[in-house]
Amino acid sequence: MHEIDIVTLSRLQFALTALYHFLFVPLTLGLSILLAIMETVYVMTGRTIWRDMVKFWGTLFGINFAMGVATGITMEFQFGTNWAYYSHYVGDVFGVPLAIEGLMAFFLEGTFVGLFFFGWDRMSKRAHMIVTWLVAIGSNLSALWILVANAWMQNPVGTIFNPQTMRMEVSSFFDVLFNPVAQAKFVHTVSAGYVTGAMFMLSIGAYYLLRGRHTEIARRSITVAASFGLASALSVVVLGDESGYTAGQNQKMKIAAIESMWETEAAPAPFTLVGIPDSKAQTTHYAVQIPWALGLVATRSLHLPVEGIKDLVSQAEGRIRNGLVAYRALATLQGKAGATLPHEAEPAMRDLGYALLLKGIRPDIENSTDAEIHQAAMSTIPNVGVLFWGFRFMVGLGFYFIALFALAFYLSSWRRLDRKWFLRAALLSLPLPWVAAELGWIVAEYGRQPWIIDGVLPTFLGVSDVPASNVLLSLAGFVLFYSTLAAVDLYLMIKYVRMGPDAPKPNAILHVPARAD
Amino acid sequence: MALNSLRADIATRLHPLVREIGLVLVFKLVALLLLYTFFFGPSHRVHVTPDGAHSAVFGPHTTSPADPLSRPGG
Repeated sequence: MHEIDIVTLSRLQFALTALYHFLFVPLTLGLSILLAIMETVYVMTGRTIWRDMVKFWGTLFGINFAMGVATGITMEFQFGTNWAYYSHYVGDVFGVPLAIEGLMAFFLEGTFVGLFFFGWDRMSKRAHMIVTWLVAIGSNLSALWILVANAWMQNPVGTIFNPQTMRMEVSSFFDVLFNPVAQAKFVHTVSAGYVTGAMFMLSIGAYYLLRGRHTEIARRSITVAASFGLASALSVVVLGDESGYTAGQNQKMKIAAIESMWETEAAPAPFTLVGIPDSKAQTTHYAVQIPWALGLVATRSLHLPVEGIKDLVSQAEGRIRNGLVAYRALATLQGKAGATLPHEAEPAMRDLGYALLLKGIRPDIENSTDAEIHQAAMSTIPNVGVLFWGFRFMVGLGFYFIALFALAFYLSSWRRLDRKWFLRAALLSLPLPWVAAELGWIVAEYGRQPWIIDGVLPTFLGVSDVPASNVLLSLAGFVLFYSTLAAVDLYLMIKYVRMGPDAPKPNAILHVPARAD
Repeated sequence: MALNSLRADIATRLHPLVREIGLVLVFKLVALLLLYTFFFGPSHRVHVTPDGAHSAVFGPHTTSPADPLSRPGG
């Protein structure tokens, strides 16, 4: 029987928990903003139907929030056990945004969620509206800090390596916070959440119109969802382009793998619309290309080339050799308190991570052969097929969302929301934003491999020596735990959608039944 | 008797969704606590010192690289 190694198991566990967690996150991000918008309309117009809409969608938001809250904590469990070397190596950097997220954003969000549900009869209309906005801001701030942490893994700026403590240390918090990858990731991810929230409202509104129920609320919900969804879907694509540009600057191999681009193309590089990537033959069969498109996205120019995988592998070989200079110098420092790196080795420090790739091949990497260095350089190529197709499905869905929301906007503007084919399409599209969001994470994180911190620490060096059986058992526990939550979430959502806006609201937590006496 | 009556009264007044969410939150808390206790508690943590990290990176130690899928041709 084939044994799965601890690196694969740990990666699988983290990936599964992250993907499960992200089933809940985008709806919270999107619906919280939509609730704030609808409540603002209520405060501005005084029309009670908008308050009813906030209460109805707020109930569904509450279910999702309750199911999703704390599901991300399981990822933090894993840092100390499965990823101990990673935690030691970068914990001083990575822990900061996570701590700020917990202290600032999560508490802001958590506190005001309670006021949102139980404050309707205890606060003025304006005060409640402010609470709803604070819930939305808190949710979005949570995303910001998590994405700052994640972006640092993609583009580790504002830090230096301390060989005495064997840790990365923050040299500029400003650079970590304003990491261009973090900014691009944040706006792209929250926009994807807004699309999810808008699609949720559009699909459920369409369901009510198909059933001829709650039509007033359904029409208004679709109108809000269509306009907000269209703006968000356009933003996702535009801001995704920004993500592509930052990756083109910092993660050239990821871009080349997404494109299955083995050779460096003459500038401006074409974008491969479809094709069949073949990693063994190192080519893409039947490629259909759009001239200039990749060059414009990845370099924002017509004269800069986008480097292909083969050239990037050659560069990686050079960086591995250079990194070995730093490695040899650092190896001599052990046990010598106060010893500093020789001056001539300092420039090579930026390539230390590349030399560490050899650790996956042999322990005494100073003695690596040319063939082993080439093998290590080849390991910098992520899985081309997964990235190529994952990216294209995600982008395809992004353009589909633009078309669907544009159509919804047109039909709602002209009061033609009685088209059954459109309502059915809107209803069937409900799961698609989740599919797109999960694909986005797969492309982002799988495309980072073989690095856990891009260019700094190979993934296999971040893993702890824990028994594989432990990871396997806890993985099974997580699958059971999250599957149960997802099933209960679906059950409650379907139940309360079927009941519709007429169902009593949970803010009437102690609704006193009428008494005969 | 009065306490039982009060409990029953509150139970009938509680919104069903609040009850259901309450149950889920209790399940979630218990499940997370169990997972933490059995797999991720302090006794399961791997403590890494600077010397330990130095040995792992610079010592005679090899870890198997990531899954074959991430290798070219995989």
